[in-house]
This record gives sequence, C-alpha cells and structure tokens, in this order.
Amino acid sequence: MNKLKIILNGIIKENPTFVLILGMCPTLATTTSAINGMSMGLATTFVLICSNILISAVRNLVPDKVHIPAYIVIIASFVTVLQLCMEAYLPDLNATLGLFIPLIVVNCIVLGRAEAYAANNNVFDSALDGIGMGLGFTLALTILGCVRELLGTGKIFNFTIFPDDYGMILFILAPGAFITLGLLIALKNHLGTKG
Amino acid sequence: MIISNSPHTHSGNSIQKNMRRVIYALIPAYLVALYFFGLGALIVSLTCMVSCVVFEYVIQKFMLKREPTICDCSALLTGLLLSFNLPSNLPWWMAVLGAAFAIGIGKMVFGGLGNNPFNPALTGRVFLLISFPAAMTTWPRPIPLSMHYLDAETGATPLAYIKEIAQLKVDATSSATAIKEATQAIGQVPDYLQLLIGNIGGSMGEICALALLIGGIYLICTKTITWHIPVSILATVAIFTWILHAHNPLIMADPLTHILTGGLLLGSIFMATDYATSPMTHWGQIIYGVGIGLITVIIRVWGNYPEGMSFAILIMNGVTPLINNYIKPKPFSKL
Amino acid sequence: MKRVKDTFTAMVLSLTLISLIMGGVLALAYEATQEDRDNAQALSTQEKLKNILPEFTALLDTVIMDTPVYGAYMGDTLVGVAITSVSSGYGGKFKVMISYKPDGEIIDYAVLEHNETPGLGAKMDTWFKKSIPGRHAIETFAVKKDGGDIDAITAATISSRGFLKAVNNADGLFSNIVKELNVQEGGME
Repeated sequence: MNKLKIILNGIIKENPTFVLILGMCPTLATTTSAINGMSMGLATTFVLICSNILISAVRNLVPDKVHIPAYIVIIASFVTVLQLCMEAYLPDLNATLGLFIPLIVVNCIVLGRAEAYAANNNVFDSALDGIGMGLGFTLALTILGCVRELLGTGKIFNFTIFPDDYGMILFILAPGAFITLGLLIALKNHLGTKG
Repeated sequence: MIISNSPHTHSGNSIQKNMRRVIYALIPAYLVALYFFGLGALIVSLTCMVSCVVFEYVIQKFMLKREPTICDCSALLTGLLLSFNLPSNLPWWMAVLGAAFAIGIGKMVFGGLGNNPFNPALTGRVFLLISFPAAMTTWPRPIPLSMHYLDAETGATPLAYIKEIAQLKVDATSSATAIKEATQAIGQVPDYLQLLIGNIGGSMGEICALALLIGGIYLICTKTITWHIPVSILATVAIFTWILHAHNPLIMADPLTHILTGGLLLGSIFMATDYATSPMTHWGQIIYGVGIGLITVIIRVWGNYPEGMSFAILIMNGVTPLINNYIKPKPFSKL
Repeated sequence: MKRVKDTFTAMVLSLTLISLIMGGVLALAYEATQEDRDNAQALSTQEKLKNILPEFTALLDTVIMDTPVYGAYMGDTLVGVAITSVSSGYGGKFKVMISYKPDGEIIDYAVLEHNETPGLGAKMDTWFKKSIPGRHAIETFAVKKDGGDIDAITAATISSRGFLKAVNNADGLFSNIVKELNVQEGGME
C-alpha cells in the first residue's frame, strides 16, 4: 500500500509537469503529436528508473562534495545507452525527437529526483519513485500531445477525428505549446481545488 | 487616459461611455466596409460581435460565477474590432474561433477588462492569422454591395504588391527583367484617391483611410483618446519609409502609400490606443508609438508577412509594463 | 551504512570508480548495438530509394561532383538515378532526394531531413508529388508567384521556393551524373 503511494505520488500529487513544472524544454518542444509526447515520456522514464536505481545503490559511496558530478556521469551514460538503442531499433523516432534525447541529461526531473529522492532512499523505493515520476511525465506529455495534435491537425495518434482543414496550426507551433500547457495546468488546479 | 496618483477629479467619463464613443467612431468605416464588401462584411461582423458577447457572458456567468459585465460594451467593441481585422470572406466558424480566443485567452484568463496585457481583438486576429494562414491572407476584391460571401472574387492587397516589389530588391540592381517586374507591380498599387476612399482589397475595416481618420478626429475631440499614440506611430512610419524611399525609390513604396494602406490607420487610432494595454504617461505613449511604427515598417519591408501592424502592437503591448515602470507619472507633491 | 566522508581520496576514488563503471556500460552498449545501428541507417536509406526508384537488381552508391548519388541498375543497364540535394527553407537546411529515369524524366522524390513547420512547409513531402514527377530535368521550376507553373504550398512560399531550388540544383547536375554513371557501368562490364 505504501509502495503504491510512492508511484501515485509521481503520477498525481507531485506530477513533474503539472505540479512541479519541471522539464519544460522537452515538454514544450516535443509534444507536437501524441506519439511524440508519449515516446519522449517513455524515454525519460527509462533514464529515470535506471539512474534512480544506480544512484540509490551508490548513494553512500559518493562523498557529498562530488555527488553532482557523479550523478551527472551516471545519468549521461544512461542517456547515451538509450540513444544508441534508439538509433539501432527505432531510427525514425530517433530522427523525430532529435536533439531532445541527448538533452534528457539536463532534464531537471532526472537530476531532481536523484537529488531529492534516490540519494536518501533505498534502491527499491527509488525504482518505484522513478516509475511513478516517469509515468507522470509520460502521462502529462501524452495528454499535451493529444490536445495539440487534435486541435492542430484534427488527429489523435494519427487517427483522424476531423478533417485537416479545420486544424488550428497555432497549436502545433511553439505558442500553442505554452497556451495548451497553461490551460491544462489551470484545469488541473481547478479539479484539484474541487476534490 | 492617464491614471496618475490622487487627487482625482471625476471627469464624467465611464468605461461604458468611452466604449460607446469608440463604437460610434467606428461607424463610418463600418458603413464603408458594408458598401464595398456587402453581405460578407455583414455576416463576419455580426458573427464576431455576437460570439464575443456570448463568450464573455458564458465565461463570466458559468465559469467565473461572477456578475456578467457585457453591458459595458467592451465585448461588443472587441468583436467589432476583431471583424475589422478579418477578410470579409472568412468562413463564419473561423470568426467564432477567433472570438473565443480573443475573449477567452486574450481577456478572461487575465481577469477580464483592464487586466489583459494584450489587445484582445488583435490576439484573436493573430491567432487566426497563424492558425489559418491561407484563409486569412486571401482578401476579397471590393465590389459595391456585393451579395457574395464565401465565393467572393479575391485579389491581392496593395501591401502584397509592395511586398513583391521589396522581394525583388536583391535582383533589381542587376537584372532588367526584375526592374520591369518591379515597375509593373508598382503600377498595380492603387492611387491615393482609391486608398483614401477604400476601393481596395484588404481586411474589412482597414480599407477606407478617410472613414478611419474621421473616427480618429471624433475620438480626439471627445477626449476619448489623446493624439500621442496615433501621431507618434504615423510620424515614425512616415520618417522611416521616407528614408527608405529616398534611398531606393524603385523598390520602396513612398510614405503616404505606407500610411494609407494595410491596418496602419485602423491600428494606430483604434487598437494601439486601448487603455488597458498602452502606457499611462504621454512620454510613455510616444515611446510606445515609435516602437510600433518601427516594428511595423521592419516587418513590412523585411519580414515574411506583408503587414506587421498587429504583431507590432502586440509586441509593444508586451513592453508596456516596462515603459510604465520607467516612465512614472510625477507624484502630486512634486508638480 | 554511513555516507563516505568528504576526503580527497574518497572523492577521487568514487568519481574514478563511477566513471570506469559507466564507461564500461557505454562500451558494452556501443558494441552490442553497432551492427543494428549500421543496418538501421542503411535500411532506411534503402527503403526510401526503393520507394522512389524503379525496380533494380544492383545499387551503386557513389559521390559525383560532391553530391551523393545512387545509380539503380537492372542487370547491366542503368534504369534510374537518385540525386540528393540540399537547400534551405523556412526552418533552415533540408535534404531531399530526387529520382530520374536515365532520359531525364523525374520519377519521384523523398524528403530525407527537414525542419519545416508542421502543417505548413512540412507538407512538402507529399505536396509536390502531383506537380513534379513526370516533368523533365531540363526544366527549371518556379512557384506561380515567381512566374513559374508550380503551385506553392498554401502559406508556405519560402519552403516551396527552397524545395524547387533543391530540385533545380539536382536537375542541373543530372546530365553530368548520368554520363558518369553510364561510364561506370561500362567499366563494370
């Protein structure tokens, strides 16, 4: 029960996108479609889980003064592993997400969770926290991607809901990302205060 | 309007009165639009006005659970101004979306009238321009009392011709054909009289310079607006384009053409002077006007769009808090 | 277990150890995926070539006049040529590949890399399929606005101009490239 709480904490109570407002760069840039948003979320989840586990495992072997460089080395390595795998098995997706895969290294959520959670908790809990945070991020990016893709092109996951001609291009462009994110956070706060 | 420190005297002006005056001032331009664009202008303007008022009512009543303030005429004015910035052959559902964006995102998310940092009507227009670039950049030809709406005959605006000329600028010095093309395109720009009476293609309310000027004079005479913003915008545009024109008369349009075409007069008299989004002091207003003028000409001459007025106003709207911060009204004790 | 103290040796040791381990992980991952990565890259180019070239039995991958070129052969005869061309649009540089019959008729094209705006310039990957294929390499293309006969992508004239420039560049190289490829074919016999 307590373990479930750790996972739910990342998905709802401390959702990295809607509550902590962390990792805005990939959130705004890669959510032009639902599939792109979801892929970015899952890629970040992979790095989060791996880095949380390893950082938690070595947390007592790293002196305080050098923990940031040590964590960055670990995170950067996992990101590179991820990128190598994507080049090998998902080349098209890798081309679409482009620069934002290597940029996971500097995603605040990954380093933030390493600092705030994995550095002080045991391996199993840290893994769960990584799963929760990763899923929360994935969920947020997928929702954002769905809304933008629907309003911008009339599709969700490439499935046509209404004809392309009625799509509002603004929502696929950068301003659409800010506006949609703002409205979704407002909606989340509205639902939060009610419940 | 200047909001300076107390003591205040009540001038007898209220929001409602000012909004009404602006609407009265828009009537001449509206009549010209109805004359040249006929049925289309009527449909688009009514759609915008009705949907703006409805959206404001619905948002205030059901989402904010507040007493609706539609009676202050501000939503009606936003709708009218929005429609002035749209081509009269725009599909009605796009006009509804524009109105929803103008009222919802442009005004209500910031807390309603007076709190919005950006001009709501222009926010709606720019939203439509970016979202539906094709529909927003095909303008109908002016045909007196035309009964066409979506099927109206379309043609380029004077600014589109000017833009084409400007784009030839790289070759114009060398190639003879480019020079010929430039001269031809200049020939397509209507003469001053046409520009003045509005017998040109363009957005609904921007075509007739004369009607807009009459409205502007009315607003200044009734002290609804001061001269600072419109005059500084027009002067900046005139000086800047005069320099460019003197430098290369073949490819740069002359100052008067620049002033009489596009949304420049409509924007500088009716949009840039919006109380909530323009600076409070006279000096601030002049800086703001110069900024709008410069950005407009830069976009018109070097940008990707033929017209830059709406972007220029929105950019300077964003700078307004900064201007207000640096140029503060003098405290009463130091006067 | 208490956390290690901030001594110099502890800092150096822990950082070195972590770097070594992660270096090992990286090397492993690199080795393990190398073959698949190479294949994936070749496969995606091959896939695109197959889509835009007529059926072929052998593919010659070469560089002529600084331009990557693919010659498609059926037996010993050249049946198609694909020329890559770089140009810039609204969002920076993009790369297209244009395929020709040996007589110069344009068969098809594929956009390899681009940064154009979704919904506007990005439509180029399908937009020109109705106007460019079937035309000839000796023609120079221009959008209607510039006096040509090609419909520009709605509201994306700059991307359209860039695309046509890429096609025109490839067109300009075509005759030399075909000559060169025919010679190479002769050499292979």
